[in-house]
Amino acid sequence: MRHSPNAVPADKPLALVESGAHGLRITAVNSRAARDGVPIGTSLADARTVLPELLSRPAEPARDLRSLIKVARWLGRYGPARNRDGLDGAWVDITGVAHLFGGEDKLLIDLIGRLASFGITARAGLASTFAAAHALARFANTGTAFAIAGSGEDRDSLNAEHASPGTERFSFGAERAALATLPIEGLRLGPDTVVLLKRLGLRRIGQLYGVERAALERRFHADRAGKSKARHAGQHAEAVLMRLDQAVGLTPEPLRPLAALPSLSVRRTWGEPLISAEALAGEIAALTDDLCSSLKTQALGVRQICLTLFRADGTLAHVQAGFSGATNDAPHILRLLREKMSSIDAGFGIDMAVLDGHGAERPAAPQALLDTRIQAAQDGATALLIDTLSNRLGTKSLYTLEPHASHLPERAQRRMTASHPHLALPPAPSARRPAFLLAMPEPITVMAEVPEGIPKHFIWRRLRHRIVKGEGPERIAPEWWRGLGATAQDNRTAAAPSNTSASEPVNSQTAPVVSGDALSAAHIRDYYHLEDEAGARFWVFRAGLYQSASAEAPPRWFVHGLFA
Amino acid sequence: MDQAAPTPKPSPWSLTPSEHEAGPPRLSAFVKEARPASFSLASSRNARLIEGLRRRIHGIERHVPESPRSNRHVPWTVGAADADMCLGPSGLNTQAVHEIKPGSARASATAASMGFALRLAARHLLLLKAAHPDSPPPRILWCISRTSTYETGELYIPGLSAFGLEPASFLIVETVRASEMLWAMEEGLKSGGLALVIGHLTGTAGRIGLTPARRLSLAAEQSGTPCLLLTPEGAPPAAATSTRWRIDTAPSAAHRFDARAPGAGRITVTLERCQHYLSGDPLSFVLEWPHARGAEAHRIPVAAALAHRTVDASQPKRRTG
Repeated sequence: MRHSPNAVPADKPLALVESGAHGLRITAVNSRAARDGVPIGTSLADARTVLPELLSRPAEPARDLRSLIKVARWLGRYGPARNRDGLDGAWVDITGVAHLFGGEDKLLIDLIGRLASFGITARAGLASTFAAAHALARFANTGTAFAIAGSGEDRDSLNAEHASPGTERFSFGAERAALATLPIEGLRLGPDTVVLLKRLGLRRIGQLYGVERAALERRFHADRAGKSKARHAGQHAEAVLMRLDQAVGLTPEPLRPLAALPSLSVRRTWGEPLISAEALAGEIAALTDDLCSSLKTQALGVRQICLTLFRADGTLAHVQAGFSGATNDAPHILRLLREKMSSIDAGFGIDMAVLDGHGAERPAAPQALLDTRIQAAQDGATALLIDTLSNRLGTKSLYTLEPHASHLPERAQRRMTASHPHLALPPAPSARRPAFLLAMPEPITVMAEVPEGIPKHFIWRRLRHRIVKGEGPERIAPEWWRGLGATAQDNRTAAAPSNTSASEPVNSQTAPVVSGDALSAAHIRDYYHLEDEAGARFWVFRAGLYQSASAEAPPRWFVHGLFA
Repeated sequence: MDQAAPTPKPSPWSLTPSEHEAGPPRLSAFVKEARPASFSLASSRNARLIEGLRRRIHGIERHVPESPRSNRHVPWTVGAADADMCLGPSGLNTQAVHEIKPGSARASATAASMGFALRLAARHLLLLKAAHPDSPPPRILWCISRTSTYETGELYIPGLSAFGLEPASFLIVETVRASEMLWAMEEGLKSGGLALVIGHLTGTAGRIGLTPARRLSLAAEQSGTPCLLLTPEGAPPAAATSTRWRIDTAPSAAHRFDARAPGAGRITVTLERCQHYLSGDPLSFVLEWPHARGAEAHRIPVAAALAHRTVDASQPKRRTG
């Protein structure tokens, strides 16, 4: 229910409408309207004739879906595996959780009560299978707000049985009994299948128990004879029996949770919501200790942690932190959490916190070196620094450079994450490479001798640089194997001695290049190492060749790097 | 204190045992009064002793525990005799912030100042390597702003190798806001696991306030990690720095084989501020950096003064095609 200025009082009939082919159609009604007999799916005009005081609001399915996902997230309170279920429900796996709330019924009372306090009227179903719980929540006709298949003890024994290896048969008797009286709509079947089953007189799920697949198929076939092919009858029968088997636990049903399940999760609940930052910090420290002590007992560390804070008004706050290596060091984790906790707004108070650890693995063994003590301290300090910096600035802001085997200047190095081990060997030192490479080569205006003389002067960033000394050209051809259309012959040109004298006759240079196609010639670069009067040294290149360029598009010049 | 040690003349730097026992406050006062206007290396033995004492006094005054790295005896120097004389026998302070400024606002001058920082970094790594030969050297935190990768460029491995630096020693932090960079630098200094922290502040961010400068200085002092602060040319000098250098480009040396080609790179270095150098005039000299060939990379000869050079007197007439 939305808290807006034009909210409708609960005692007035209300319908949500959407515009359809035949005018406004009712998609949902509130409890008062339902009591007055407004059916879903009729047009608003029809409903108004029956109930003139019916109020209406436009339906907002996209917003409803967002709200539903929010509720599903909030269900993380009761278990890590949860998600929305269709457009009108949500599920949560509470295996092994019920005892924390004092039993399954108490858990459901807590759940329904909290949702009610947020203004959400909900019904809950609890069973050993997802399908059975789905049916119970929607169709169980009990007086209470929730329905449980069987008793908790049954399920506990079931779980114990489930845990022991080698057992294949479970006793899902409770589910069978609970579902027997429910309508077949509870089986999540397609509308035409439901119609078909009803026409066959199968209205309750219990009526399907014990029906053979072949028998069901035959009845479908008989009913639809002449209208449809036998293949469809088989498909319908298959769907019905599969859904039934899923509901009573004979066929497993994989479920996709909303978020990746954590490797380890610890939680703390407080009777009185925490509002002060100090109290919260203390509790988070204790929570972190909980997580780390259980990690240490298993000799594991985590790569990522996610702290979820449940506010009393049903909203959530998340804090995430990642580590460069698996860790179970509580002060380290806490330090990173504290960095980010400052931005958390406690709102009306925080009554529960869940700390999830993701990506559990064995922490890297400390390296055995002669100077172990210094090395370990240094590595630890650097790892801590990397984590601190990358958690605040983002992992992309923190990097190391690694040499890459490419003769193209901008591809000769790559950015790697800070914790990446260095394996590649650095290239041989070269006097012809600058220490600083511009992220983008900058175009310059050059006065140079055609075709490949050293520039006399150039204008860069509105400053004129008069060249005193120069070296070049060093020809760098594109990597033909990267699909730039260059031919092998051009590559041979690149392999030629790069430091050709500028005073060489032009003819000897034109021959191999002209035979290549124009595109590749435009990608050839001639690099020059230039020094101006002040001693500033630049790495300048010309893209393209004067010989093959047209008058409209002459080769262009760029500054690519600065020598320090 | 060995009284029997032969000293050519009674130097104000030598301490008698009674003075040594007098306690920290007096010692401190004594050293402050006795600091000579110009530095003389009368006896390297005495100088070493003084340096040890000075460090201890500094520690007592600041209540800083002596860090394990600080008892290294090889000083961190520029590698040029003139400059090292000014720095004193202890060399550059490895527990302080050093400011490096370009001589002009041009990108080439900024690149030259960054190059000077790289040279100092290479020399510092060499010292650490000598002190702990068995362990891999710690890394350098290189903090840059995103705009500077477009203005001056980013570190380029093939060029770095010429400085004798390995790409693996760099941990690069790229930030957008100046506050983030100062925070990253401070975190780096406080971590204690790094060899050096270099921060390149650009634009208005270079106007570093008193508090951030003081924080950096304190963090450097507490962890024993030096910090090089590169600030723009126009910004006022940062507070709480140990030295301040101004770097500009200088015409390169003659190429060994090709008269028209740029030779070994040279930079003009001006020492504008130094705690130990109290003479009024800033010291200025030209440094030359030969390209790396093993250990030679870390030797920086002071260049001879250049004669007036004409633009193309040495160049032969070019044939044109």
